[in-house]
Amino acid sequence: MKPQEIEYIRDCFDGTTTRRILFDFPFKAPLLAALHDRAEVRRFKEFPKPFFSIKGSAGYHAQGVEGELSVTLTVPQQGQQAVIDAFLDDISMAFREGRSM
Amino acid sequence: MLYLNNAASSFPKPYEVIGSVNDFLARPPVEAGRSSGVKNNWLEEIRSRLAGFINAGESGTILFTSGATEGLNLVLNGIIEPGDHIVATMMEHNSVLRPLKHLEQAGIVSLTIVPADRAGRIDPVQIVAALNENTKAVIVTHSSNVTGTVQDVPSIGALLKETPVRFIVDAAQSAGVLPIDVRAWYSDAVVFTGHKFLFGLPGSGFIYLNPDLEILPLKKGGTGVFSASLLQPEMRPYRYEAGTLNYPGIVSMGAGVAYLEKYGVELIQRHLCQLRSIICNGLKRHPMIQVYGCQTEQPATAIAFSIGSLPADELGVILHEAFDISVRTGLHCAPLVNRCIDAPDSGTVRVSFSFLNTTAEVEYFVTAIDTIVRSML
Repeated sequence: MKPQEIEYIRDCFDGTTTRRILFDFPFKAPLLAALHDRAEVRRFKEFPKPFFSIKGSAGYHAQGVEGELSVTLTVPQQGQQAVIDAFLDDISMAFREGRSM
Repeated sequence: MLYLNNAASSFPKPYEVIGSVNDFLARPPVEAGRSSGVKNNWLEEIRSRLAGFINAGESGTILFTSGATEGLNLVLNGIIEPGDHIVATMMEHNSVLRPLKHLEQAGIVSLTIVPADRAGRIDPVQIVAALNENTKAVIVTHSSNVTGTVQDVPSIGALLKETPVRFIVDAAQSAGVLPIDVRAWYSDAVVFTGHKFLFGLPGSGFIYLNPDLEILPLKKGGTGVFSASLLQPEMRPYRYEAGTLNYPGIVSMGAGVAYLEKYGVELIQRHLCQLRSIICNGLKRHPMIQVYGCQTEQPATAIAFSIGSLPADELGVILHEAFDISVRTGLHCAPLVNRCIDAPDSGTVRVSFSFLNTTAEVEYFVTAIDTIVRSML
């Protein structure tokens, strides 16, 4: 599972801490289950769309809807690229594990 | 999508507004002075309608602009001279604060920014206390774009009328929501935008400029009249309306005001108060929700809130992605408001509705918030 597009999301502040990341594969239940070992994953099945939140120890926070290709990623001001890389690594590894589940 | 970001720009627009723009675009864009043989001066009819809507008296006090930001820049840059002192408030939008701060940085003006209380209210007495012998003008927003808090503009105007200080009001959020009476306020300039609660197109707006007040124009150029003169005409509105006006925007604003007049301010306010009550009461049911400056008895259309320690932008993502509800998060281009109301550094979530929203829509919003709060417990 690889990122296809990473886009800055403008916000009310300096617009540098939020990204929209489009992947080549949708966020599905096996992936989210496999992510549990690496991050704090919360799933909100009671919402009209099955929402999820992933908080990684590297400092990222990803939010999105199960079955969709993109997430909104919030990262700290400092060391952003390392935090984004950590998120992508977590996704990549969890995806591999999720496929074998 | 349920659009609850009307304080940014209203949606939907009334069919009458859409129809007026369609009709306008289907005809040649003729205007008296700029086209031959024009008999129906539709532009002046709209100017008169707007003048009546805000009780401006003569229509020559109405000057078209591209919106509140241009209107504020016109008034502030047009009125200020080196050495002047200006009084503004912490409830102002950046469209007020930034022009003033640039003038301050350039050493042209000195500023006093009057604080608000935690509900976002400005005490008129504090405005008067901030005046000094160099004070040229006081500028106050009528209704906050963050909390909806309505300032006591009539009292401020009444206090200032005994002084030589000019009174400028930013009515971007209140026009179409609250009664506007520029003469009862003893105002010298009042600034309006078309695309919010007047239901016009973005890029439309106007100002009321008191007949006793002459300011420098922001732009100079063609006016369609007095063309032999190489200098800008002194006569209103031409002095301030250089260049081709935004005709579709003006037409949409005129249609929007006609639509509002059809229903009347009393009915509009009753409906808006009902929507506000549903939202405020729904939010206040949850102890973990903080509502900022909410005054349910006022028909203002913006409500700011936060849920526990959840950052505003993250709540915005949840509402948008999971519930298909559009709101706005952050500082709302009014950075000093956040300090007054003691909101988190990440700002607030602002939900803003219009006369065209239904009770069912805002009840859906309240249900969404209920669901989110339950999921967090």
